Amino acid sequence: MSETLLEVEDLHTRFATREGTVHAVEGVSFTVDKGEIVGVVGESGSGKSVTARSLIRLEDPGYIERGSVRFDDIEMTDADDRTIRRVRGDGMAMVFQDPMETLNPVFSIGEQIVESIKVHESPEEQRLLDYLNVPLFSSRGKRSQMRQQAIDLMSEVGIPHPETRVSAYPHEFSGGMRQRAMLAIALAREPDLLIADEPTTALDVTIQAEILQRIRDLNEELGMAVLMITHDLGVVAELCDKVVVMYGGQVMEEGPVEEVLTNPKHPYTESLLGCMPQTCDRGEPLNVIEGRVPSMVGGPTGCPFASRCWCSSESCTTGDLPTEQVGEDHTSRCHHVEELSEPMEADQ
Amino acid sequence: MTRPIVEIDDVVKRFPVDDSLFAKLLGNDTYVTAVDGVSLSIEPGETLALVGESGSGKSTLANLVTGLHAPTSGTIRFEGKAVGEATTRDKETLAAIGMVFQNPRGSLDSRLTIEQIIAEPLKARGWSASEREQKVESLIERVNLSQAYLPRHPHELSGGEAQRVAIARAIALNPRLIVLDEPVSALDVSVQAKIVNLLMELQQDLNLTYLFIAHDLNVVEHIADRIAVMYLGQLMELAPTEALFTQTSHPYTETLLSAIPSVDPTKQKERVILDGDIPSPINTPNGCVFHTRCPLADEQCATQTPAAEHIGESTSWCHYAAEFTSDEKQITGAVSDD
Repeated sequence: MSETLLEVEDLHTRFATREGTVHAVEGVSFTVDKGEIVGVVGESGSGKSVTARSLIRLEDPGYIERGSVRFDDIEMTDADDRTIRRVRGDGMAMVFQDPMETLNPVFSIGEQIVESIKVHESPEEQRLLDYLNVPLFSSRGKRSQMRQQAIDLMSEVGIPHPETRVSAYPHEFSGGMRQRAMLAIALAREPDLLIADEPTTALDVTIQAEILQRIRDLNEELGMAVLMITHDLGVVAELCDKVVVMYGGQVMEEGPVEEVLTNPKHPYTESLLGCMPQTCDRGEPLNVIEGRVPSMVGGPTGCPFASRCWCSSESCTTGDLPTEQVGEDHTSRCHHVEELSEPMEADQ
Repeated sequence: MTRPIVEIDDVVKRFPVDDSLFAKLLGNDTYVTAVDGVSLSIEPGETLALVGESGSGKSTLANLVTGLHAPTSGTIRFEGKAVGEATTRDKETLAAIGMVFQNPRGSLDSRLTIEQIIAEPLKARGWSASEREQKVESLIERVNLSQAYLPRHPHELSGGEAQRVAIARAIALNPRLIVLDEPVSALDVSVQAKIVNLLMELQQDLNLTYLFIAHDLNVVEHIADRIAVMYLGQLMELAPTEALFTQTSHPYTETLLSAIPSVDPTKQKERVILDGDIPSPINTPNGCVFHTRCPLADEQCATQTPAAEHIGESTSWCHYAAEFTSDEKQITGAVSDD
């Protein structure tokens, strides 16, 4: 079980902009074990998506300043294009937030799944002829076999009537169906790690519940590890084993889901939980976090959350954050962990 | 009892799928039935929430109230007067209904400054320049933004700030009703909390009535007095918030509630997952529109349209509402795993 699949250490991803260097990811470290579901949560602008993209080296136009991403003994940060391509082909697969923008509108869903199967089977070798389906150069048998594979995948992710839907185009699918098609494309590569970047944010709760259920089933059946990027703590509670809370490009708290959500050891996690409407009585004003997400232009000084934190002090505004062990596998990066450890105070 | 501020009476809205002359000549015009015979009323000062999946007709119903669409049949009364499309309404009625849309940036003109955006409704009502300036300043303070924002353009604002500007514009002419079409769906939880607080504060101070559309039931539970659940253009259940969350009287509401992810990992509930997608609104199912996906459905549901049944304070459009409410029929556990 505790075999490490992905190890991210001290990752720094930056963007050079006209206003200055944006430090989108500042020293993020975490691990994903085989068969584990890890959630990454945080507000918009906290660096979650950039972290995910850096893992499969899609950080462009940004660049990885330093740090390491080890996936199955491959160092992704200095791998050559061929290796990266191979890892994308059968190691890590990513599902993005907006399925309309990531599916190609001019190819049918079936063709796009078949393309993914081809990439998986021979990641190094992609010939134009393979895509043109010229009779002499491509075998009819192989084509129909791949088509059948695509149909099987579609029924696996829960698309009804896959035999007829296989030749449908993305615009003929509803939002939930498109997201399932994306999932099928990712699964065609039989990935060891599925990176899902807010896959259900644009969907209704009922469809979301179904997709999450599907991801959990796949995790159980295939032993596929999942890295779930989301801003919805409900999704994390529902699905994940472990959670990484990010803010301002840094990891704030990390630990088992039950621990972190029921007994948060970082003021940011606590505030985030406090914002959920469920935590307040009906009609009462909701708890809010004052201020806004920092811009991250220029390097951080001290804790990025200090300006919005209710317990920040002098020491928070300078220097690096300490990593405090607050439980088994549970770490918090806060100067005031001891004060927090006392049972929930009247801070809210 | 006071007169409801909005009375919607058996309203139907159909959109032609293909409105070309050719299709009309051939006579093969098909229609999407977005709203199918909805009747409800909104009392002054209350928050009525409309919930349902995408494609259930929530936004169309809201647009019918604001006059962006004209109903195919049925009537909408605002403060006792029948109102039609926005172009046929008098200025008084137009000013009395405000609207806030889902995508804050999409609903603000990117070429105008914030000041011009908020002043636009005032200009349309013929306010003088100096009056406008004063009012805009008080409005921007009202939504907790500083006056430094006035000369900026929408692209310089974050999602939450843009939504505040949209709210300032909506309350500019002292409306009595505000239609909020998913005002917080596109926002982060922390920003969402601030906007929800602002809306609740404004409602108290300005004595507003809200028609609040959302698919996030957590927010709805917090802000709404009554909830109307829609599915395929029809009402499924209409109930006070507390009654709906403690004892649902419709299987569809139950499935919606069970789909909300809970933040407490120790309290994970059994969930009801529906098969398939919402059916096409071009050929709506006969009988109860929900019967194709309902775990309780039988022959009666497939042939007869259910009538409204009153159970306690709730109204439910289900043949088995009474049995369902008293737990004689249950759907938890009867979940197919496909």
